[in-house]
Amino acid sequence: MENSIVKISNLKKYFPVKTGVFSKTSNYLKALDGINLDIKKGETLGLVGESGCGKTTLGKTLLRLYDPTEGTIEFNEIDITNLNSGKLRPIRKDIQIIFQDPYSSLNPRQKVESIIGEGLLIHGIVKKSEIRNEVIKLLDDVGLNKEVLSRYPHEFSGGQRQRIAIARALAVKPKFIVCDEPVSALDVSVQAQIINLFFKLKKEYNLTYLFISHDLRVVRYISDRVAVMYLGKIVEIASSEQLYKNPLHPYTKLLLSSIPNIGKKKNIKREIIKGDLPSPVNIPSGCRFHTRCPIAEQRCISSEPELRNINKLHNVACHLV
Amino acid sequence: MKEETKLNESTGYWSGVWIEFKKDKLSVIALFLIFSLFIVAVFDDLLAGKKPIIMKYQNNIYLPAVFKYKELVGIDFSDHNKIKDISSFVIFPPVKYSATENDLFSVLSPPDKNHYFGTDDRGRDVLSRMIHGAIISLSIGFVAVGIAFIIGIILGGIAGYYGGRTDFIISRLFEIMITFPVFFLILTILAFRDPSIYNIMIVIGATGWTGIARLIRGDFLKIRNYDYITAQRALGANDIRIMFVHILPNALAPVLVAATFGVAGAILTESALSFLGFGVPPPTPSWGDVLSQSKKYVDFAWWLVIFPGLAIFLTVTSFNLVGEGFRNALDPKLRGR
Amino acid sequence: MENILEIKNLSVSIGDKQNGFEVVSDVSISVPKGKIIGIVGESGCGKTITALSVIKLLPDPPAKITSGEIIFKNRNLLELSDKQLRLIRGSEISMIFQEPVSSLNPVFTIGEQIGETIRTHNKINRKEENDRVIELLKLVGIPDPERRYSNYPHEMSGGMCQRVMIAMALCCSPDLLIADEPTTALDVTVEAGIIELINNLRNETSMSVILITHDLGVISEIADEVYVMYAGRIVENAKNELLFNNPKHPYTIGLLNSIPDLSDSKSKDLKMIPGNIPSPQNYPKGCRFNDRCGLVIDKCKYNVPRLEQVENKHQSACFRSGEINL
Repeated sequence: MENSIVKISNLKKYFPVKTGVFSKTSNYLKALDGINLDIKKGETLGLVGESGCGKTTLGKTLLRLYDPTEGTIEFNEIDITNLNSGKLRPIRKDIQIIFQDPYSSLNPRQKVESIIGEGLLIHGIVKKSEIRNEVIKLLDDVGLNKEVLSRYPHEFSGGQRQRIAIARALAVKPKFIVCDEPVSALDVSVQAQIINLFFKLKKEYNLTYLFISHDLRVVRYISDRVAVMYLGKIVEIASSEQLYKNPLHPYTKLLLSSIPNIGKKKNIKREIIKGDLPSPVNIPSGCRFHTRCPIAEQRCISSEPELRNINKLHNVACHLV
Repeated sequence: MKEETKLNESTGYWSGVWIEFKKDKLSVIALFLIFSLFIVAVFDDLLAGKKPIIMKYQNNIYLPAVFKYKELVGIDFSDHNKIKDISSFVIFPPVKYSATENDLFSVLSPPDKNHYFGTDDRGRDVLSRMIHGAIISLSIGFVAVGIAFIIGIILGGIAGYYGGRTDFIISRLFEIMITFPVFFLILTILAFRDPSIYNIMIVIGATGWTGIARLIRGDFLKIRNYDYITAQRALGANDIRIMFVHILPNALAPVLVAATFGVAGAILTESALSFLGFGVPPPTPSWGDVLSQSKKYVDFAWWLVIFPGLAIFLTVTSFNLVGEGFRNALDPKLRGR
Repeated sequence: MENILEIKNLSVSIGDKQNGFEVVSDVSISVPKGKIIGIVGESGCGKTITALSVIKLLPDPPAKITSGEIIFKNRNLLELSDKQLRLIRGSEISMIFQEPVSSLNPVFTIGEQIGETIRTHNKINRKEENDRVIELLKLVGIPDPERRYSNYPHEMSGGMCQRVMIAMALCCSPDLLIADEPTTALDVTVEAGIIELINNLRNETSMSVILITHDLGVISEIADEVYVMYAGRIVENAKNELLFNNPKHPYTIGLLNSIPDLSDSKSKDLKMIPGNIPSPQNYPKGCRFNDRCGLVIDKCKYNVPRLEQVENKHQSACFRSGEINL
C-alpha cells in the first residue's frame, strides 16, 4: 500500500542470553519473532499485549534504538534497517518517541527550555537566537505556560512532565511518533487531558501514531486499527471497532473479557486466563499460545499459524478461525 | 486550554546540595579552614617575605611584594632598616623572613619572638616556609587530582557507555592499574625522571585515576539505559554529546566526593615523597620537606615536627571532612530523585 | 451488620508544627464483617496513608496521627502499644502491597517466607508448617504447590508473587485484609485472576477486605461499598451500584467521565477534569475541589462541605449534590 508510512517485514529481534563463566551465548530471548506490519499515513495504530510480549521492543526497534536481528524496516519508502548513524540522523527528525515514565524521561539536570530546545539545537532547525521563541510556541501547543522555561523537571507533576516530553518530541516536527505507554503512569483525570492533547496535536501536526499500551480502554478510544501481540508475534489485527466487537483470536477474546466493567451489571462470567506467560527464551512449539488456549487442538501444537486475512482489514493468526 | 502552573521556588540541584551541606557544622568549619588555607596560599608573599606589601618611595606608591618594578631594581630588600630610610611610608609582611634566606647565626633555634615557629638547620624561618609551602601542597593536590579526573572520566565514560568489548579491555586496564602498589610506582618513576614539581603532579595524577574511573563507569552503565538518554538518541544526538552533555552531569556528584578525598590523598603523598627525599627539590619549601628535616633533629627540634605535621594533619582532615559532608549532602537528594 | 473496623474522624499530618500540613482530614470509614470496602482516589489523596494508619505503619516522624480513633474489635488501635499491635498485625489484620516481587525477600524461597509468617504467630512443628504452606498455596490458586514451595521470588511471575503475598497475609486467617493497590503492577489478565481470588476468599472465609486502588474498574468489580477520596477527604460514599450508576459528586462524575468506554468512538472529546491535583501544601480553602469543579459557587470557596446523605446508603460532600442528576 503506497500510503504506508512504515512498512515492517519479517522483523526479528533476538537478545542473546549469556551464561557461564565466559559469558557464552547459550540461548536467545526472542522479543520479536517475525513481525509484518504496515502503518498507514495519518492513522493511529494501537498495539496491545501483556508485559513481555515485545511491544516496547517493537517501538524501539522501529526507531533503530535497537538493531534488528533480521527483517527490514521501511520508513517513507526508505530502507532504514541498516543505515549508519550518519545517514540515519536526518531521518530521526521524522520519527520520535514518547516514554511511559515521566519521571525518568527528562534529564533532571536540564532546564525545561534546554530539554525542549535540544532537538532544535542538534539539527539546526532554527537559528540559536530563535530557539527560545520556538520553544515558547511548543509550550503553548502542549498547554504549558512560558513560566516553566527555567524550571527543572522535579518541580512538575507527572502530567506536566509528559507535556514537556511531548513538546520535546514535537520540536523536530516529526511525521510519526511511537507512544510507548504514554499515559499508563498518570492519574486517571490527567490521562484524559493527555489523551485529548494527543488528538489535538495529531490534527495540528498531521501525525501518525503507533500507540503502545496495555490499557485496552484507552487503546480502543484512541486507535483507528489495533494489533494484538503475543510473545513476539502479531496474532490479530483489525479496525478498532471490529476488534472489540468481534474478536476472533482466542487470546484477544480472553484479553477483552478480563477488562472489568464499570457500573454495568456483573452477571457476565468472565473467563480468566489460566497459566503463566511462557518465557520468551522458551517459546512454545507450533502456535505459541497453545499452552494457555482453551480450544487448542493437536495441529496447534505442531504447526504455527500465519496471519491470514479473514475479511476487510481483519487478519488473524489462528488455525481454528 | 492553558494549565495553571502553580510552582514552588525553583531550587537548582547544587543549591539544594549546599543547603544540606550547611547543616553539618563540622564540614562547614572544615570548609572554612580550607578557604583560609587558600587565602594563605594565594597571598603568601603578602604574609611572609622580605619585600614590603606597600611602600611610598619618591612620591609613588609601589607594591613590591606583588609586582616587579623597573624603578626598584637594584634596591636591596633584605635590609629593612635601609628600606625604612628611603621610603616615606612602608608596611612589611607580618613575617619578616623569606622562605629561603639562610641565617647561619640562628640555626635550629626554638620558637621565639622573632621566629614564631623556630628555624631549621640552615636558619630558615619555619613559619615562612610553612606559609610558602601551602601553595605547593594545594597545587599538587588539585593539579594531580585534575589530571586523574580527566583520565578517569574519559576512560570510565567510554567503558561505561560503549560496554561490550571496549568495556572489557578498559576494565582490564583498570585492574592492572589497581594491582600496582601506586606509591612504589611513583617512587620508581621519579627515580628515573627529574624530580620537579610538575613531574610529581603528573605522576600522582596519572596513577590515581582508577577510583574515579570506576565510579564513572558504573554510573554511565546505569544512566545510559535511562529513558531520557534514549530520548537523546532518538533525537539524533551523537555519542559525544550524549556522554558529556547528558550523562556526565548526572554522574558527577559521587565523583566530586572522590575528588575531595583525592586532594587529601595527593597532599599526603606529596608530603610522604618529600619526607623520603623524593619530593619537590630544594630550595622550594614544602611541608613534607620541613618534616623531613625533623628526622635528623627530632630529639630536641620539636618545632620541626609539630608545625608541618599539624598543618598536614589539619589540611588533610579538612578535605576529608568536606568530602564526607558533601557525600552526606548528596545522599538524601539521590534518594529523592 | 456488625462492623469489624471503624475509622472515626482520622486526621494525619506530615511535618512539624512550622512546616506541617494535613494529608488526611477527618476521614471516617466503617468496614462491616465479610464485606469488601473500596477506597478509590488518585495519587496524593491520602488513601494509602489512611490504610497504613490502621495498623500504625506510618513513618513517625514525619507523619503523625493528630486526631481520631480506630476501633477494631472494641479496642482503639491508636491506644495500643507497639507490642500489642505486633500481635495483631499479620494474624488479625493483614496487609498486602503494590509491588509483589519487591515485597518478597529475594534470598529466601517462598515456602520459607510463608512458613516464617506462620511460625511467628503459631507454635507449630516443621511438618505441620509445611503442610499448612502447601494448603495455603493451593488456596490462593498456585498450581503445582509442592514444586513452587522451593521457588525464589525472581523465578515467579508478578501475578504468582502477589498470590504468595496473599497466602502470607491469610496464613493466620485474619479478620481484615488491607490490600493497597494489589493489582496496579499487574497485567489486566493477571489482575482479573487476583480480583477473583480475593472475591472467592471473602466468600469462603467471611473475611473483610479494604481494597485501595485508583482503578475504578477493579472497585466496580468486587467492592460492596465505595469511598471516594480527594485531597485528603472523603467526598463520596455509597453502595457499589449506587456510586457507579448514580454518582452525586462532581469529582466522582469527572473521574468516571475520564475513563473511555469500550463502545465509545472517538468522535467526542473525553470529558476531562481541568487543572491539576493540588499538593497538600496548597490545598484550596473550603471545598478542596473548588478550583477544578464545574459546579462551583461562592459558598464552596469558604465552607467545607460535610458528607450528607443524598439517598439510602449514599452520602456526598457537596453543597449542590441535590442538583446532580445524570
